[in-house]
Amino acid sequence: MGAGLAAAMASPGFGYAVSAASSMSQMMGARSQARGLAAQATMARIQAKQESLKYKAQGVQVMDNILRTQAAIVARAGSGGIDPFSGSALRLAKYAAAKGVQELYTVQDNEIITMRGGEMQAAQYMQQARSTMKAGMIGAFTSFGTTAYQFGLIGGPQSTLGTGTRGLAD
Amino acid sequence: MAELPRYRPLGVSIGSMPSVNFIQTGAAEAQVYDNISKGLNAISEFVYERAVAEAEIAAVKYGAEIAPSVKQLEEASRTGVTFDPDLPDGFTIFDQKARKTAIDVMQTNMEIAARNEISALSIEAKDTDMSADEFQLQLNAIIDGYSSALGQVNPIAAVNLQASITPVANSKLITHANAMATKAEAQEKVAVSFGVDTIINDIPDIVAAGNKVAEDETVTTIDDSLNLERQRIYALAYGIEDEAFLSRRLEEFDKAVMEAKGQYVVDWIRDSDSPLDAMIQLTNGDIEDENVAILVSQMSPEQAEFAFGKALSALSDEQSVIAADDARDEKARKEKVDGIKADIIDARIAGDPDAELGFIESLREIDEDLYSTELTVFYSGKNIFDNPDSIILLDGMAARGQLTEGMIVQQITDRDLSTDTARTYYTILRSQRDSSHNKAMQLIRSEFNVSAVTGLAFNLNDPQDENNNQKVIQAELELIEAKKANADLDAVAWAKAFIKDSRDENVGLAEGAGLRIFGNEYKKLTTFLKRKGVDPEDRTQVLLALDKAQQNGEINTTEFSNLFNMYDVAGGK
Repeated sequence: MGAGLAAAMASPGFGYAVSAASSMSQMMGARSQARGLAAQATMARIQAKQESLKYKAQGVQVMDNILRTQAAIVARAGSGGIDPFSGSALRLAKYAAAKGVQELYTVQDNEIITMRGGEMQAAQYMQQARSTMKAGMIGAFTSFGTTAYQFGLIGGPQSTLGTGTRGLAD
Repeated sequence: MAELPRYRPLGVSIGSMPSVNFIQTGAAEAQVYDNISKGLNAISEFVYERAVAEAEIAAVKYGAEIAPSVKQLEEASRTGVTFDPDLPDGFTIFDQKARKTAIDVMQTNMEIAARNEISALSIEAKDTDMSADEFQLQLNAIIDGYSSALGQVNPIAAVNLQASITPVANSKLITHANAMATKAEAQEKVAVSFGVDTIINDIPDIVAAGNKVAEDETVTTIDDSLNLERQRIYALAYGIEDEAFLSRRLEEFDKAVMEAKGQYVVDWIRDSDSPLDAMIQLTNGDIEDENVAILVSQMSPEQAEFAFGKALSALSDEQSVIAADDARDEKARKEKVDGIKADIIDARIAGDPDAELGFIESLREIDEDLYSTELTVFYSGKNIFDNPDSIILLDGMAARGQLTEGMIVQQITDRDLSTDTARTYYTILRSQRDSSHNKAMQLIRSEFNVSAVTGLAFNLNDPQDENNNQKVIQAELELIEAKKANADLDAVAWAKAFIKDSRDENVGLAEGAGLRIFGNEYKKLTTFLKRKGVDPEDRTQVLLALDKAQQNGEINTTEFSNLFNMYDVAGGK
């Protein structure tokens, strides 16, 4: 029984099966790594979106600040008997609007940068995942192929070969 | 103006995102699979190693089987069959291993076959005195043949094969070359030795030829000629460069010269009319023969001494030869006389006077005294009386095996012995020529305390001695009779049986002295009588039993006759 098992284990067929299982495991490992990287890419996108929302809120605050400043100018000018829509009041109002818009543009640029940065990070993770998967596949096939080739190289007696009397021709 | 209410922000902000690392999770998971893969790879590697090991074992066996055997290789070499091995040539481990094994086995087998061929060639070379060059050519042919055959399969193996065979071949070549050189040297030595032998053998002729005188009257002395021959030995021995050989052969030459000169002198002495006179001439230095005189005059003192000694020795030997011839003639004469005496005795026993006289006459030329004595006995007439003293004397000597013809003749010529009694003594005398008879009689004499004596040491008047003498003589006469009846009788066995019976006081007829003479027939008869329950003492019963046995076919006619005659002769009652 033991000897039979040992003989069966020593057969090339068993070797092929074990090697195939090993290659499969190798592919599974690569796939797990790729899946982790893909998930990490999604996470990067979410993080970028979350960061962009912060900039969006900051933009709203900038616009609020512009309105509040212009309203204060109008109110202060009116109470003081000054036409708020002309003269110095108007130039102050325009100056406030220009400064606020400038700040708003900066916030909007930051939002875009954050979104693009997250996308790029995610794209990198995905590329890494694809490479890992591809490497795993290639590694598995290579490993199995090498093993199969090695087993194939063992060889054995050919049925066409004779014994004993070969080697001398009349 | 009253300030209007307005919306006041609560200060809600975007929450921070928790940091989740999916890569680590994937890496951890991949690590698990990697471990599994490593384990499976280890199993696969183990299986591979085992499969390789088994394949290699099978390949070794297969490779060994397909390699040509030593016998096949030798046969192929002998018959010139083309060597075309069909070995596995794939790249698999099995094929490579099988090929390597087959090549290794082939290399080994070829080495064995080549060594065998080299050994056989060495023997042939030795037997046929093959030249070293030819031997080397044939050795190279063997080495090249096998290595090139193997080179078609594997050049490296061919080189290895050549490397292993070449030292053997070189060793054989050196051995053979040395042997041939030794042989050639020996042959050269033999040739030189033969030449020297010829020179030495010619020495007596040179000595005998004497001095040579040429037409211009130049004289070449014997020693001049001998010296020339001695120089020739130097010339011959030059080629073999063996000083010991040269020295030995020169010594032999000198001895041969001395011997030849001495022998020439000896021959002159022997051939001369008076060797003694010649010897005197040699002693005095006044030799008449011119050649001998010249020879002696040219002798060195040592040679002269040797020649003189040899001449003396030759004279002495000649005298010894003459004496030896005389002794040989005397011995032959005595042998002839002894033969005639035996013939005379036989004629007397047979009672044939004509033959007796004829034998006596033949003594006339070779022994005159004996002739006269025998003639006196012949013509002394037929005596009819025996002198008791003479009988006691002759009995005593006969009992001891010391009886001689002279004693008998003396008693006859003194007329103290009758012719009939003399015939009995002659019969005893003749029987004593047989060695087995003498051995048998030695046993009997020992049994009756009769021993050989010097002169007349026994007591002529002692009754006990006389009794013992009579017993011995009686036994001897019985033995003679038994021999007459059965020529193949074992005399010693007969004597032992006689002694055994003589010790038994109650010896019956069938076991008596008469029956012993028949040996095996006696045993047959006693067995037969015992089986039939017949009393051997009763002659009638015995004869009836024999007759009945013959009628019943138990014994044939011949057996009946033998048994009956034996019983009758033995004196059955």
